[in-house]
Amino acid sequence: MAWKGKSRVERRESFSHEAIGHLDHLYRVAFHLAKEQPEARDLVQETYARALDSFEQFSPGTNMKAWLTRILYNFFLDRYHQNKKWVPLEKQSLADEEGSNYWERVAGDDPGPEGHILLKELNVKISEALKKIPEEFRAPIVLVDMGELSYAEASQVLSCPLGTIRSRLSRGRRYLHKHLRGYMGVEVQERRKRQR
Amino acid sequence: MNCIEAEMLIAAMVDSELSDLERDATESHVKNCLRCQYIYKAEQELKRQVRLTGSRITAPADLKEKILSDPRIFPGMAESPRGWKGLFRPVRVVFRPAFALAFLVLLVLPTFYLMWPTAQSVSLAALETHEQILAGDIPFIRSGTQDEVRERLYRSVEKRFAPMGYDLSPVGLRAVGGLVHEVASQRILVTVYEGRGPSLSCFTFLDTDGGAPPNAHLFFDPEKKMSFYTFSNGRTNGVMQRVAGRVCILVSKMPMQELLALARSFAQPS
Ligand SMILES: [Zn+2]
Repeated sequence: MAWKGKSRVERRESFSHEAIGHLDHLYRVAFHLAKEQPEARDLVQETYARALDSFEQFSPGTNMKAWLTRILYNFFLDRYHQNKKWVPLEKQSLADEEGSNYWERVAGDDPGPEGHILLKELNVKISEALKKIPEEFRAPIVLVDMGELSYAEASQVLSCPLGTIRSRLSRGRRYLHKHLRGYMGVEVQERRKRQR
Repeated sequence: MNCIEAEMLIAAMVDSELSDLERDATESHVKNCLRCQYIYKAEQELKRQVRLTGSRITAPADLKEKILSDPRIFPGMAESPRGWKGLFRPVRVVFRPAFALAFLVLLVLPTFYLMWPTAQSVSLAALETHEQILAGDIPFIRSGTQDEVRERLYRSVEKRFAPMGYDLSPVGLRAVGGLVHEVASQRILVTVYEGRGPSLSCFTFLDTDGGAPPNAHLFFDPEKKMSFYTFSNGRTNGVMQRVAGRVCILVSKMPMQELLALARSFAQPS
């Protein structure tokens, strides 16, 4: 977006036209953060209003997708958590008693790729499973896996260190896998050989 | 590296977010550890499926419209009675200069209309616009109902003239959206129909010249006492008629006979 020599009105217009190109991404993120469609719609519309309000703070040439996502996420926090920001990992209450033993246990009884349910059904299951896992783990998955943001971008959006993104994705995927067990499987050669 | 350490790094390995050093160490552990191999594959598959799930979710069409008509976001569009005007700015960008000039000359200097070179006529420009709409080169708002499309377009010309509001549902087409061309303060309203079979664009503008498209075939309907002009460019066909001071051009890739029959069946003698 070349802004040089443009008037404020022109800059604003050119910003809004580029911003509208990220609508699907923002809606996807909002939908999985807020869990419900009406809230997601509200979040997205308000995000655009806020973004246009402060569009001059955006530096042309930088990542607009991440910039808009950050506005959306902050608004989500304002609205749904009365400014409650991230709770440090050590203090958060989620019970994780089984920890690493989880993978130990499930690797042995994975149904393999044949265990996949119909793709369409699996997509529904994934959306449902995402709703069930705590927000601090859900958000990085939605941003990185669904929104295709890098860890650096996700850490900016969520205002947390890069290492936190790493560990939350690791644990988040484990929780997600737990909810989807029996619906999707993977092939591990050695195990197959052993079964023969 | 033990399994606990490896497990912490596997997520980042799946996302290609490890440093070279970390990657080498994690890879060599995973290669020799069945348990961690399983985690890697499970996370990889999970990521793939989550991305797929996301790609199936798109913003509802009416949300997009709501945002576009929110005065806080697109002030020009929502506040002025012209409604969508601002959105169609990109259209000008995709116009080839010669094409834009064709609109300009024909609408501003209608007396020259019949003398203008055939390839540059407004009718042929309509054929070209239709093809650009099909190719997705010209964005337009997708709107809920035919009435909504009509109302928006009507408002965009301060209610000076209304777009031809054909109900094409008997042939399986419905109005899905509209756009406005603005050239030298003349506006051309376009209603886009989609559905069963080829899409159709309906162009409406004020009749300022009374001329006919060059190289067009004249078809006279004795029953309705109306004239229709048919013209083509490749497989794209157009039918033009005059209705109560307006010019209406239907453009589609459907066979000319069908398109003409459609125009005739909906035409009312003016
Ligand atoms: Zn291991």
